[in-house]
Amino acid sequence: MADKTTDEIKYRILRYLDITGFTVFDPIVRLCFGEEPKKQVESIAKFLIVPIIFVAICVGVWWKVAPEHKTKSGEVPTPDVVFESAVINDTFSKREKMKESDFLLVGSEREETLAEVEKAIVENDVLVVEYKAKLAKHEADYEAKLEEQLSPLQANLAKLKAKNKELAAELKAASAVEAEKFENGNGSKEGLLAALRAETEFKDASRIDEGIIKDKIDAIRSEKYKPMEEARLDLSAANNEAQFLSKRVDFLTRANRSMKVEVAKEKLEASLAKLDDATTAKAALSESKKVIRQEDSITRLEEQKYASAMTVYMQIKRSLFTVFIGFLVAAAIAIPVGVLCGLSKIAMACLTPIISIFKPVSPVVWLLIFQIVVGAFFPDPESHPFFLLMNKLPFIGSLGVNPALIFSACTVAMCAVWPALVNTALGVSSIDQDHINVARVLRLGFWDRLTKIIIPSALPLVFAGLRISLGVGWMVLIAAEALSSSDGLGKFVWDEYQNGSSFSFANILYACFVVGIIGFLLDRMMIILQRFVSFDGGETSL
Amino acid sequence: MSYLEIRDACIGFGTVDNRTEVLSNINLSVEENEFVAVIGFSGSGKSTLMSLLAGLQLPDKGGVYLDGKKVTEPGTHLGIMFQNYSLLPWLSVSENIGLAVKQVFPKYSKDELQEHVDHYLKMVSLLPAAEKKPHELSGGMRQRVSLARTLAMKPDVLLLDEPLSALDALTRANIQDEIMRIWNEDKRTVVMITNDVDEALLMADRIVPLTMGPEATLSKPFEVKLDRPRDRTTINNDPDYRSLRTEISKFLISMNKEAKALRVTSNVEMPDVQPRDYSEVRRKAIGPIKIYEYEDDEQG
Amino acid sequence: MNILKRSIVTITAAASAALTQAELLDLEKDELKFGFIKLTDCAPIVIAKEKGYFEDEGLQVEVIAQPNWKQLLDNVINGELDGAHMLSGQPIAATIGFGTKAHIVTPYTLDLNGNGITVSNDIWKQMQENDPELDTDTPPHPITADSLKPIVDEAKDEGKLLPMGMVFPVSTHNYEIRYWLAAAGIHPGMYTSTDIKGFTGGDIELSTTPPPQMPATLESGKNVAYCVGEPWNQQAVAKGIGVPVTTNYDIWKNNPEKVFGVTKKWADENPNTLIAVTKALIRAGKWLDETDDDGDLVNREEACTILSKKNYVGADYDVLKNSMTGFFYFQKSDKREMPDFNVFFKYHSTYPWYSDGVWFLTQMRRWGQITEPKTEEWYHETAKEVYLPEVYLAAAKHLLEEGYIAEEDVPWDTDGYKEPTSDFIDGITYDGKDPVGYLNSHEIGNKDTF
Repeated sequence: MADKTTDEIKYRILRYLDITGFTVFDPIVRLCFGEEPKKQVESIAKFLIVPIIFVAICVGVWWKVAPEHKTKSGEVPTPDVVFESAVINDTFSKREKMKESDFLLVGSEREETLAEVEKAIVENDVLVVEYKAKLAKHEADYEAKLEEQLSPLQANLAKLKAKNKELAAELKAASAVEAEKFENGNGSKEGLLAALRAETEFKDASRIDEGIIKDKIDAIRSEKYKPMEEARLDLSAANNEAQFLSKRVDFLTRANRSMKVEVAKEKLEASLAKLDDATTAKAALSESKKVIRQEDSITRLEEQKYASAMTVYMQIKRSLFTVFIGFLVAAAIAIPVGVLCGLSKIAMACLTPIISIFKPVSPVVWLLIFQIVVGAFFPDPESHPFFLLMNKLPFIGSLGVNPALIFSACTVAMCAVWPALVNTALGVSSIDQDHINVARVLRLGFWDRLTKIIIPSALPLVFAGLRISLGVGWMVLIAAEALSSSDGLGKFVWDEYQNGSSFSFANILYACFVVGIIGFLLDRMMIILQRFVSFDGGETSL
Repeated sequence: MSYLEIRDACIGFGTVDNRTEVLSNINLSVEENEFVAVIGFSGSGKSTLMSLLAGLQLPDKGGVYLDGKKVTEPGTHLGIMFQNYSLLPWLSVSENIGLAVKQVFPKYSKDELQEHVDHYLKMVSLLPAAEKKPHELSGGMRQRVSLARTLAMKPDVLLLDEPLSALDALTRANIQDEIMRIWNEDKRTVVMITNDVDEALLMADRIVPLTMGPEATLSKPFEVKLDRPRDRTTINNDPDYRSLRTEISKFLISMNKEAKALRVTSNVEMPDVQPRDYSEVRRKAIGPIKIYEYEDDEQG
Repeated sequence: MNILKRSIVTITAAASAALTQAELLDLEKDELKFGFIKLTDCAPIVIAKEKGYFEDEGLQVEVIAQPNWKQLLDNVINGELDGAHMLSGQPIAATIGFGTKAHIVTPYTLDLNGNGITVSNDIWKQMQENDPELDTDTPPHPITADSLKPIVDEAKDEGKLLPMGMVFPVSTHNYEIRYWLAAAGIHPGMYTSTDIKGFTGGDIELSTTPPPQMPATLESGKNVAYCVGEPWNQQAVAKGIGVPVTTNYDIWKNNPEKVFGVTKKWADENPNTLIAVTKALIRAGKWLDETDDDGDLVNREEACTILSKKNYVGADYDVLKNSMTGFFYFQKSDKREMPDFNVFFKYHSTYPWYSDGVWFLTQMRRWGQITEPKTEEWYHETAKEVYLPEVYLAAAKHLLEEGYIAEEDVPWDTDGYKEPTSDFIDGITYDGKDPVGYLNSHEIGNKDTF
């Protein structure tokens, strides 16, 4: 009996692995249940350990090779630097979260947090002083080292320059002598030309000689002094922390929502008291106007939201939302049109030229077109009913739907529509003649024929198309966001590129992994869906 | 005038100058409640003939008449059972049948519908597999589902296109009996296509051979006047049965030779039909005559 | 006269004091979005947010980086943004309809100076050859484009126009690099009604590149020189891909650089909000320019820490610090003191001067962006349509009452025109009251006679 249940559990797990496409873990599960251990170990070694070793080797090569390649924007970051950038991004979003919660804290909780933060400030200040001293020391070291290395070179250079100058003057004088000979009537063409040539040649040669030393000096100057760089990073981290803590104090005191409301309420009470004491009509009128204004401002303050900076997690959320909107729009267009094309040869003939011409158009072009066309629908986005509605919705509202998001979603839709459309048309037109005969014999009406025969029979291909569409959409989205500066991963990458800070490159690689992993998960999701609709129980490709 | 009739039907393909007739001058009259078996070689146009009868294809010349009315489109009254089952793979067995039943009896309540479906599933002994998807069934089971679906539509004419080809001998016998029983109980006009002379002899009132294509046509029918119900265990000893069987076999073999000879001299472009080695047939002539055929749909 | 004016201001201020004393303005809108470009001179907006000055006015402000000036302007016009960090020329050009047409106004000048012209290493070497005086670690300043001219001529003889970059057709940078080139007799090209790229008749080709991409274009050889704001000149030094040869401080000492712009429509709909925003910006400017007794800027390091955050400028702290703390690296070896490289408040710099607007208009006319000759009145009227000193003064008045600024911080009774100045690289005098005369005093460029 117990065996039966464990078997059941085992097969259930295996089934999930199968559905989700993680069949590589199959042998591990089987091994856990003690099924043919030898065989499982073998396949684990073959299909799990070997790939893991391979990936590890790739990472190792990256680690080794990256620092060798020096770019103008610094070295190619190694995996640990990329990981560090992930941590930095995480810290950034944690800080935003914390500031937001500080902004909303009330009562004794607020005071407790304030005390904590103030303590942290004192601690951090000590660190700042320490790091400053350390940096100053390293800077001095560096200067000394630089001086030591440079001074002989610079002396050499000065010497060389002086010598060259002298020689150049001599050569110049020689040419002048040659030239003068013409005055005396015994000038020789060859002599003068040779003298001038010698002069130019010497100038070029001396420039090259000087250049060599200059290049050396430059190279020494651009060499990084590791301890100093590290000290700088430490100090700037501490400075950042200090800045963050002082901002927290702000949000716990004067910028705190409850505090602001309190201040406003006090003022309101004062005004109300004044209104009671008013003796003239004019004074009463002006006081009551003030009261009403203050009441308004209190309600406004009470609803005030923390204006958060975009964090990478918010950008991921927004990107996902955008890609799904675009994808759904694409599906909503592609499936009916694809069915139409599959059903009617005329429709297919009509749409073929449109599909063939627009399918290869770059997303960038679409983005610009949508920006202009769609932009015209929202002359005043701030007060446009569509956006007002969207931004009132519970989850969607927090993403900040704006025209840029709409353009990006439209671009995604435009590029994602084609694979789904073509596949749907193919699925519908390649429906089994036997199934059509069944429909004819049963005399199914158009609707029944569509819903009971055509669509179910085309579904596997439709989903295969949708899967490609989502993949394309995700790829396109990153480019669209970068260009339209719609907040999302695309903008994250672009901003990082524009920041040009020492961490930018690492951040870009970090984004590369984030985009890749999310793309992978989206694809897996589509595979699972595809598995559910494929009626023949067939395998889906990786 | 007979109940179901094909008159001077021709059907072919190709352009006017380069035309290949698949069937030509087909004439067949089937009386009401008669059981007719059409026997022929593969590629002779048997399935096309069935399509004509079911109204799935219209003849280029001539026509098909049911009860005096010309058949112009398929329908549930012409219950065709397809050779390759034609089950909808995304529906379960009972849904497949239910879909057909619902079309024929739109006024059925949910329970009535289920009852009707179950009745026919029981008839083909597939009640336990009611919720399975077709791809989970064996070829024989699928064929039974297909039969149940056709029967469940209660058609006026039952058109069986090699209904038992994919079945093992045992099941085949069972279903043959089943079809016979149903036909006896609830008289129906049946046209069955088969390549098995024994099967035809056992079931039909009349056996009509279809000549080799192209330009296949129906040749002289053989009346089967054996008593009903026919018992497969004893019928072998019936002298009438044996002579008729020999006669039909001889006819078919000679027809094959003729066709071969014809094919050598003919330089007409062939339809998409594979030439086959029929020597196999002769060697097997002692046993039940079964014309060798590629069964590409055996396992779906 | 002046005394009388001043007393009137004080009296009205006193009268309204009872109403406005340390009290939130009656805001029309309190959740705002401002756009900026990743340049150090967006600092007042960022500081006003991070130091809580916006919040003191009851405003919740999001500041959002924009990819380029065109999109920033479009987003302000279409209402996606409430206001933005803008090039001084942008509100003017938009208002007169050069490029995108929209009535944009500005109540606040964000900063003075802050730009530099960087040339590629290769060009720098050639300039040093042409002028041996430059061939030291610390060449004498100002460096004119005289030593660049032979290089330009040589390239032109070979049928090549040297490509150079600036950030936007109506940006200060465009006018500055043109001014610098023209002062040395290099024709930077004219805009005409058909040539909107401004290449006509030029000895070089000056094209648009967004600031953050400038170093990359220099590195890839797409540009051999560019004029851009910070930190993109210091970035070139840090990466070793170019040499800043001059700053706009040398081209025109204390020239106006960026402004805070909003649409006229927005300003009309949200008058009190605009005053509140201006108040916060004035405080931010003052904070940025605060000095100790020795005259050292005390808050700039903190400002750099804030600006180096990735959602603001995002460049390395050290790169930002180079120019923000009163120094400028011309080469790795050439660090110079430039206390006025970024001016955020001193010299009444934040006041929206009409004369600044007029100067930009003269440059637009000089280079043909304004295709028709315009009368003197037109210059003054246009400037008055764009600059809103009344909003600035209203905000300043509140701040004065609240004790955040001092009486002398604001030019209360100016007519909006700065004194004539000849602090230009070519020594020509600019008098905002005589735009046409000024236009005609240049050798290269359009001249108008009536």
